[in-house]
Amino acid sequence: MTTIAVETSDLGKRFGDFWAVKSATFSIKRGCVAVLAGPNGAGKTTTVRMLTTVLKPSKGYARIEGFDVVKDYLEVRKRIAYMPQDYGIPGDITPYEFIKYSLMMKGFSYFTARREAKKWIDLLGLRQVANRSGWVLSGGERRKMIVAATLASNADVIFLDEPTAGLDVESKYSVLRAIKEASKQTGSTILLTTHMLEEAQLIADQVVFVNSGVVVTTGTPRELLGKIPYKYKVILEAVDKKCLNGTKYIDLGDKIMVWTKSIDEARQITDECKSYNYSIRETTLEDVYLYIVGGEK
Amino acid sequence: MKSLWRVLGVAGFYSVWIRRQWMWIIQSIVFAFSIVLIVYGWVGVEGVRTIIPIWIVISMWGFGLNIVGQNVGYERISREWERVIASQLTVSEYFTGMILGMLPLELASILPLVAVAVLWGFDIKLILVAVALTPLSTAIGAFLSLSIVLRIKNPMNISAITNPLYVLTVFLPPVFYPSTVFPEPVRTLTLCIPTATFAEIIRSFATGIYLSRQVYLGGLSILTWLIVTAIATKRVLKWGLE
Repeated sequence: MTTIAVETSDLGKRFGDFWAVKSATFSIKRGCVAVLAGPNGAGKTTTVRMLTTVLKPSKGYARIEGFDVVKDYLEVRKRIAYMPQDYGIPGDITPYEFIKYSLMMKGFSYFTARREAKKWIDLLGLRQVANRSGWVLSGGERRKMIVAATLASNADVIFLDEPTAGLDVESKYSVLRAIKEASKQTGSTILLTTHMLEEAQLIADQVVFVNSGVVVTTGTPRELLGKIPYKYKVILEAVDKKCLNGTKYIDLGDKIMVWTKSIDEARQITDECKSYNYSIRETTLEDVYLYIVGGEK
Repeated sequence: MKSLWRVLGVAGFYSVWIRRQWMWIIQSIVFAFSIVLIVYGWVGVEGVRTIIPIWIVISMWGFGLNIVGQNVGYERISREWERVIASQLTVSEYFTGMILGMLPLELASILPLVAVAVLWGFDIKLILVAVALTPLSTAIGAFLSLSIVLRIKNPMNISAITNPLYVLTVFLPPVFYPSTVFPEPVRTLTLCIPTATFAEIIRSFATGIYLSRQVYLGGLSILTWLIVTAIATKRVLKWGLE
């Protein structure tokens, strides 16, 4: 039995003359939480829509649990659950009903669906609003409702397209916690998309960076952090750029950001620039992404 | 067994809005009774005898045309369409569940009218003929609507298409009034409209008067509509892998 849950090779999708996904090659190990990360319009959603058999790839191939998404699409559909981006939940339905009926649509019996719905309502902190209609729920509660219904499906591979988009901080962490919990409890492979790289760093076992329809790199957060030669970044406010003495920097308008290899180097920059407003932080996946995609300036 | 749960899951999902927005059911009942009263007022008992079975067939036409078509359109906007595609649900399970879930909306107007027909002592055969025609009227209505709705790339206002289509096929042609108001050959030509044909079939059974030419033309019209709209729908109804 394969240990790879999702595998793609040179996967591409063309709409007319436009290639939404030019070449996506990556694989995701079974049971891990993977994040497809990249800016808006990078091709994340199109990639997921191909993996979930909604769209037919224009080139390359993709396999879910060893099954080809085109040739064996019925086998693939047995093994997946999908939360589309911008999913519009019907206003009349309550979270309890939504999760229950969604599970029955997956083939769960009425009784199992009812039991699981209650369990996931608790897990996502929706108990207070479980029987309120969607019209009176907040955006965050509605999002949790669809995330709960998708995670509760117990599918082998779960796809969540931008599950935290538009959520407040508290709801965002509650959703991320539930995703991690679901992965632990069910052993499902979870692939989610986001353009928020801090989320990827928080929960991902594996990150796939996408830009302009191409997978640019992939690895664990630790591996990706090791792909740049810098360990720290200094953000300086209101300084004369001449003090950097030719050191490469990223212009953020009224601030500048400089990557450094050591904390001493970072302190040396703040001393030389005589900046009173500065911060020194460890590099994150955002820096990795900027470094790989944008390159040094 | 899993297939049955899937169908019931879809039915439950689509029954929610009817249960919550129960005023639609009231509207459905009032509308049906109003039609009966209008016909009674203008024509008398004989008109009611025919209008009840015609209403049964035509309300199911509207169910297919308006409700099913609109729902699919909205589900494409809300992306529920994608969510169900990426699951084990088959097209037939999905549509069976959808129809089962929303059927109470139509039954709410049909069943009281059947009761009226029985209590008034009308020939039950006419009601049975109407019920026998409902799968056809639902199917053609749904196919016609879907073949249009699924062609629209940006289905933002589906009801702006399905509602006029409903009025055009139900109120304009000779459905709630006899086709005899038209001279030949217009009268025969109205049989090209499926709703008019359904109504004409009911009227023929009610009066016992029919021309064999009308029977053949009517049958041919229904069959043609069924085949053409089914093919047109099949061409645009893609269950994933688009």
